[in-house]
Amino acid sequence: MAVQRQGLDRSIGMGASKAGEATVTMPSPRKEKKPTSPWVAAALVGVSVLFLIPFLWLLAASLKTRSEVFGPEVIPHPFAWNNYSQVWRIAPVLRWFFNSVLVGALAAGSVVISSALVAFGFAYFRFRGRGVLFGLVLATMMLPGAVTMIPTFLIWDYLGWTNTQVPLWAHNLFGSAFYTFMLRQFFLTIPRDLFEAARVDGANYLQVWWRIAMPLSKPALIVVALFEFKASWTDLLRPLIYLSEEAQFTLPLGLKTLLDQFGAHGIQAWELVMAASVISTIPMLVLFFVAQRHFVEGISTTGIK
Amino acid sequence: MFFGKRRLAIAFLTALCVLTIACNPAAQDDEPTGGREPAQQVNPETLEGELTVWGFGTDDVIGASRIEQFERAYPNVTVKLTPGEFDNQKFLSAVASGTPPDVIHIDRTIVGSFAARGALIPLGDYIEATNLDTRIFYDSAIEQVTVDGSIYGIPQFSNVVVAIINNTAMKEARLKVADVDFSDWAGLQKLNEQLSKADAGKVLRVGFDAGLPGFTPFWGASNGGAILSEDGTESLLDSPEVIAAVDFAAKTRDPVGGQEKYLGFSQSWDFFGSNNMYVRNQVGVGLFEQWYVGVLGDVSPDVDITVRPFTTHEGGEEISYSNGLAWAIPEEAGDTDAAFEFMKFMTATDTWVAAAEASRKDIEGKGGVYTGTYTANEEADRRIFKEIYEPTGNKSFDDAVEVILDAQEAAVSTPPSAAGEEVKRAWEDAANKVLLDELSAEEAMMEADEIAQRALDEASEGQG
Amino acid sequence: MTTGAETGERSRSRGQRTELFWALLFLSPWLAGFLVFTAGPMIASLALSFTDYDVLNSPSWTGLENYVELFRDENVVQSLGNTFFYAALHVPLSMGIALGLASLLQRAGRRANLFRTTFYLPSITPAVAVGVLWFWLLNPQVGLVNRGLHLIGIQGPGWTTDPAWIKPGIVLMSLWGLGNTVVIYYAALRNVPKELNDAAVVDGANSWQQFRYVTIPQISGVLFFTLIVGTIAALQLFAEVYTMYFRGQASGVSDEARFYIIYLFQQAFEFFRMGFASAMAWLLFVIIMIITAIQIKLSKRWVYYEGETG
Repeated sequence: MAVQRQGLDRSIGMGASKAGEATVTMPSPRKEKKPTSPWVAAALVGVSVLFLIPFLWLLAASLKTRSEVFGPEVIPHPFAWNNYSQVWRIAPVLRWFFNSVLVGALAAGSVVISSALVAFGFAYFRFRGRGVLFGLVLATMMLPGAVTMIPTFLIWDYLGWTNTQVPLWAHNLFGSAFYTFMLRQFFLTIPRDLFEAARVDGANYLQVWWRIAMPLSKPALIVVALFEFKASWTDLLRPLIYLSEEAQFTLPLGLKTLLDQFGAHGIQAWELVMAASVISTIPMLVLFFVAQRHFVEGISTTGIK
Repeated sequence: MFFGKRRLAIAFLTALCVLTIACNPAAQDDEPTGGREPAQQVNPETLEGELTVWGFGTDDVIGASRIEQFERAYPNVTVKLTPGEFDNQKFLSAVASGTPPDVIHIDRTIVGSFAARGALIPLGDYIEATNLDTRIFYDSAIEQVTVDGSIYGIPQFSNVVVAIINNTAMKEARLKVADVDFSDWAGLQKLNEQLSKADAGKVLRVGFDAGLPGFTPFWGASNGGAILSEDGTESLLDSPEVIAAVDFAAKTRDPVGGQEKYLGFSQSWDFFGSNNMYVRNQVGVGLFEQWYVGVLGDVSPDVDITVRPFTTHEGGEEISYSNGLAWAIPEEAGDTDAAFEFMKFMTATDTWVAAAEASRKDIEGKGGVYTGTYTANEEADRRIFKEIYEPTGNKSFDDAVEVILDAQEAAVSTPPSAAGEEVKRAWEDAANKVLLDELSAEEAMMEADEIAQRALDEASEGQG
Repeated sequence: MTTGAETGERSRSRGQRTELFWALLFLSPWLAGFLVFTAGPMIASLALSFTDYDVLNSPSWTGLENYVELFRDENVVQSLGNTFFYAALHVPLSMGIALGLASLLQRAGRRANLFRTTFYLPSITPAVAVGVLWFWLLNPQVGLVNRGLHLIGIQGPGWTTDPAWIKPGIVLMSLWGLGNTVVIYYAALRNVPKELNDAAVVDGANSWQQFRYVTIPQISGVLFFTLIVGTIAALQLFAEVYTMYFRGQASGVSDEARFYIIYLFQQAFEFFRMGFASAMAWLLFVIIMIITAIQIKLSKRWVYYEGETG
């Protein structure tokens, strides 16, 4: 294990320093405690405020009374806290929340394993037709989903899985083009010697993948998991097409249902729509805040180049 | 080796492709399932079944009460609702896989498109077998779901256009409500100019809001025209009546400086709030669907308005324009008997009246004022406003009731067609171009007519 | 390792064969998924693009008719123009701004966490909510955007009413959601070895030169990645704009906001012309392929690769 860690560090050091022939040493860890320049701080705060305002507006609108939702007041007056309790009461929000967590976890878990497997296949092995196959992987991202939606639905229907949550995540068992691309790039930065050494020690390719490639790419895998969890968390189309029972709904579909009932074509209770939006955003926010350390380190070592 | 693999892969792909298309039941048989005979008399107590209903939720008391009533009357029928607006993507997927829901709650504009493509079952036999008297529904609503003489849907609500006059603005401009004459376009434009207010390029009040592009068909009708022929196969968007109406309606934006100025102003209205454009004196006279009167009653009961019927350009007769939702049964639905019973029950006079009463109790329980419930069922409306509704004591709203009920009867609607949505897009786009001064009304409507006619021809040609 | 030419040859070919076996084993999830869930629908949509298909009835063969109509339908051309306009503004702007923000973050020290979360916040807000929210924010008279501009003495344009400003308004909305890119760039910047910059300083480079000649080449691979992925996504923008301008009441500006995928969606699910929509999809597919190919070709001039990329 220790050897592997070293290997990873070395690979980063080497990869990063190649550009400047002069440096052969590893980059020093960034621990410098240079005080942030006031200009940078001011710019950051300024931009942050710009980014925050729309969300704060959403938050404020969710706490206003119906007749004030789109009013010019910045601070709700009075605070209509019961918008939240009302959403809670009229919609099975908790149920939708758990459905979203379950589907998101399954989607993220399955896509990590499968994409990593496929990515390793593309990164490590050399065989004829590899370039063409990889081109095919990328091409699948380029056709608008609207026209493959019904044929895909027919396949799931044929398998008897419509009206269940399976179609929301099970396609991830087969890898995803985007993450396969991303992880392949990462595996390419791991020195081949490490794999060869393990081979000499008698490991088969699966073991090489599982015991060497995977642990070394843990941060990248966390990135993939988080990205996919987020994608699943905000996906509306699949739940809309495949689910019909309210008890199976995920948060975005529930939110759309609320929008229909209370928003544009409904009784125009926008404050409830806003409250529901906030409710569906907060968990993801917390998750991001907690996981961002891994998230950022992960991307920085994937070496998407 | 590679070659072999490749061939295998191609064979696999082809097989899959064939499978994908072949397992599409819609592609296999177009045999209508209408062969099933509707049951003669259904006993609610013993009727059994499970109904999947799409596009209807129980978010408001009016909806929830009727579902409750149905479940009580038909104890052995289970109703499974999929709330949220009816969604074409979802429906088409389900139809393609041969598993449509039993009942759908859809916009009447789309009934013609579905019916023309054989996606809905005609209800004639069921109506006859269960002695449903369709005369209880407003004519304009029934016409919108009648294709080639067969009824394909049961109307739910009916939204009709009325004029809402801002008395405060009228007083300010020293005008009398009684003098407003919608048949006199020159006079109307003058009124518009008198009521419009702007300051240094900033609009402060729209004198007359004609409701374009949304009310284009209504304007055509008020000028004695129509956007479609009665049988829904021919576009009349380029008829002189429609062109003249669009031309005039678009010109009513001139006093505020054109469409852009208008939009910038109207998008800022607190439409559903207590600071709406009538409260803030931002509109003089506006055309709106009748539900907006209810909104005003809810959020600003003290607003000073007069609701008036709109009138035809020639003759000055009352006219309105109706739109709304309807219930329908998709082709290949499972339990059509129960489905029809459900639709019939949901729109029956007694059901509506009971729901209206429940709604009144609910609103009054919360300290609000019940302003009435308007349905597509004329008989129900009459009873609701006689038995359930009580005058609120506020003249603005009490006087509106009769106007709205009359508008329901005077309303016309656009006949169903095989390309309802495309026709709608065509006139919407055209009206926008006129409003933005990109094209003259004549040019725009000619262009729209061509697009609409092509869509209509293509859609009907496809049905053979 | 090898003892003789012959054995070497044999063992290599056997090795190749086992390698191929293993390679296929690793690729098997994707191959299976491609065959079962991707290839079928893709080919089906290609086949349907040569038919008249309303989904409710069986498709009927019409040959190239749909493709001929693609070039006749003014809306196709216009929506394509709208989409290109958007992509041409959105992609460079989002890359530039994201890079700027990432550079700021890099200098933020320990507080980067908080700012990072702030920048990322919009990306996790549901698309439906974003559309609704921005329609109000961009309102020319009472929207926060123009009220903000007013504070600094600028008379804001009619973001949601003036045909010339609809698309810039949409770009503005889209820039709010560039958190993903910021996070990726930030990470890439952290990966640029400090030694390189120090060496450049020794050589007398100022900070712009450092950025231009050290940082940019080092993260060019990431820039390239976001360029490709960002372009594909920009050309397929749908949800936010659809919520803003196409749900509910006629917005009065539909022409300007009608992006390619929105028109495709209308054709497929509102006008029941799945055959035509499929032809539209394949046209876009080809366009994206060509653009991606050009981007890859051009990338060889400016993207700096460190190792094998296959």
